[in-house]
Amino acid sequence: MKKLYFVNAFVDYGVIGGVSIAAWALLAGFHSGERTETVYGLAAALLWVCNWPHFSATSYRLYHSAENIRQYPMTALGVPAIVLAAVAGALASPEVLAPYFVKVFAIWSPYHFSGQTVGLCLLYARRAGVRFEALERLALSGFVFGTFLTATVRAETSPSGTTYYGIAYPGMGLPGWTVTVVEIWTGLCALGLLAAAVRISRARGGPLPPIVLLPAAAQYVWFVSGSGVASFAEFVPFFHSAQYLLIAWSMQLKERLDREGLSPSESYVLGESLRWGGMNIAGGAALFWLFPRVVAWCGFPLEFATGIAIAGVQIHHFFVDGVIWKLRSPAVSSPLMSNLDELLGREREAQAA
Amino acid sequence: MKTLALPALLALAFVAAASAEPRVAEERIVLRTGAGDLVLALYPDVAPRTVAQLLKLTRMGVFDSTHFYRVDPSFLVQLSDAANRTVPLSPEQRAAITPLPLELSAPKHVRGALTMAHRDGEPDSAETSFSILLVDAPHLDGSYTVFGRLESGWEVLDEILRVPRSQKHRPVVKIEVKRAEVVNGAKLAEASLAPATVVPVPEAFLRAAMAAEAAEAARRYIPPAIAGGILLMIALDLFCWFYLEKLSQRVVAACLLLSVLTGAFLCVVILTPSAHESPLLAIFLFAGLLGTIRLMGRLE
Repeated sequence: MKKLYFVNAFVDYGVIGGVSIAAWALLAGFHSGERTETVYGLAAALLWVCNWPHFSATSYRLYHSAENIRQYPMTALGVPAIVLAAVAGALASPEVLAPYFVKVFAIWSPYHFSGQTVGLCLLYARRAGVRFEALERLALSGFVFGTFLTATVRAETSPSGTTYYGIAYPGMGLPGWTVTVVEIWTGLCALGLLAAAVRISRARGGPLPPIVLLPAAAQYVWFVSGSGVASFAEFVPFFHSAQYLLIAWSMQLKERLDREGLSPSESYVLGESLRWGGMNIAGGAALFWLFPRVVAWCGFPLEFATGIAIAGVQIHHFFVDGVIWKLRSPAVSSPLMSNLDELLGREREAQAA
Repeated sequence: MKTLALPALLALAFVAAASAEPRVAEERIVLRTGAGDLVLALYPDVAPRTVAQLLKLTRMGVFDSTHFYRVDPSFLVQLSDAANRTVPLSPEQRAAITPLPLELSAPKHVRGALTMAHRDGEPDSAETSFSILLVDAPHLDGSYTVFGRLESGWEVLDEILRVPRSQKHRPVVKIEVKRAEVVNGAKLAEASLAPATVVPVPEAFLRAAMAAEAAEAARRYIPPAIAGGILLMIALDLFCWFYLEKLSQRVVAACLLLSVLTGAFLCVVILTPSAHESPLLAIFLFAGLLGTIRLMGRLE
């Protein structure tokens, strides 16, 4: 049971979904729900230390070694070229391409969240020694992607669309009944998921650890229950980024430990965490603060340049994440089975004792 | 000499008569709108029946809660018919509105002119709807009654023009004439005219207007943008073709997937405006985009 968590129950439950569900309950129950200045201020501060570094962590993971680049040449070299071409096209065509470039990003982003959520559920299931059957896996994916579809389809029923950094992009004008269809689908998948939880609990002779389904529950709150609370919606990218950073941090510590044959220790964990964290904070600032300003320096309004540059960076991230985090690959799934005690050397100490 | 002087004098008199402003009535009509106050000067000698009728209707409150329903920056700002005002007309007010005959005279349809609207092909059907011209419109001369000019309030019109509009020049929010009053010209200073004010527009309307503008722009400027996308697809496919034997199967597959993504993106750009009129197309586009995004997970 010890290896169920990356750090411990308190941290894992909090980061993987507990904090976001609690934040939703607090904001929905005791706050106006509006995007107040405090909300904006806090969300903006979190961008620097969590949201942006999580994008940088992906890039670091792909580009930090020549071996990785050779392993994924198209993702590492071809995709940035295509994304840069799209960014240039959007900048050159602010009225035609830019709105749709932003639109593709806006649909891909919650889809990408859903992919991570399914991955987290499966990861914790593996750590808990639980195996989902094919139909149960379908129910899990159906439910998680159903929550994303519920929010996205609802938004896409309006042809008027919305704006992103002043870039107005239209909706698709989906018929209203599609929302009902997606809601029914999500509900059916939720029932299937409950049935799976009951089946697994019986097979184990004990309850399924709640953390296995916590990411799915959190995503339901992000996209369905919390979608009407504007102040909460402002923090959803932060919650997603925090989940990502926890996993990527653990992966980074374990991979480097194994690759360089280092000994697990507190000083290693602290030193590597500071190095990796600092690098990602700097990388995030370069991608999301510096890059838009460089684009604006080429003669585009800063707000417009920021919208396009950020959409480009994020689309690149969606590509890379889809390729480098395949749990089917042992090179990915094996290091993801570690936990902090192992990295600190405590596990070995305990065995020795 | 005398034979030359007479036509010259007549010509000068004609030019003077044509360029001189008609006599302006003592009374002004003040339209108190959500964007500020507009002061209308009236020409009683040019359009006596129209001016008399408008003064009478203003005093009866007929223009209260009417609105500017047509705002075309390259042409005019038009007040709605009183029958379409927010507060229904009383029986007395309705009875007072009678069709006005066309009153043609010297004043031209120039910037600032007030001109009565009438039904197409029925020049004697003007009632309460009128326009303020934003540009010279000589094509209207001889077809519509000019009955005055905008005396003050150009900056108010600027605020009205700032309100986003639909493609049919309808403002996205109602710009209402809260009250219309008859004020003596000499007492205008005491009438405490409201200055130009920004018309509040809810964010949702602004977004809708911006999206409509984007869609309209997309219709107009598609070819060059699409050409760029098609070139990118061709480049990717040519790259695969030229290096087919040198590249691994995985790289070729990735190039083809990126070409598919580019094609799907172009479809979204081209077809989304049409999807607004076809639910089936909208579903097809949305599903196609999601399918393409899903495919990108198999890039390598």
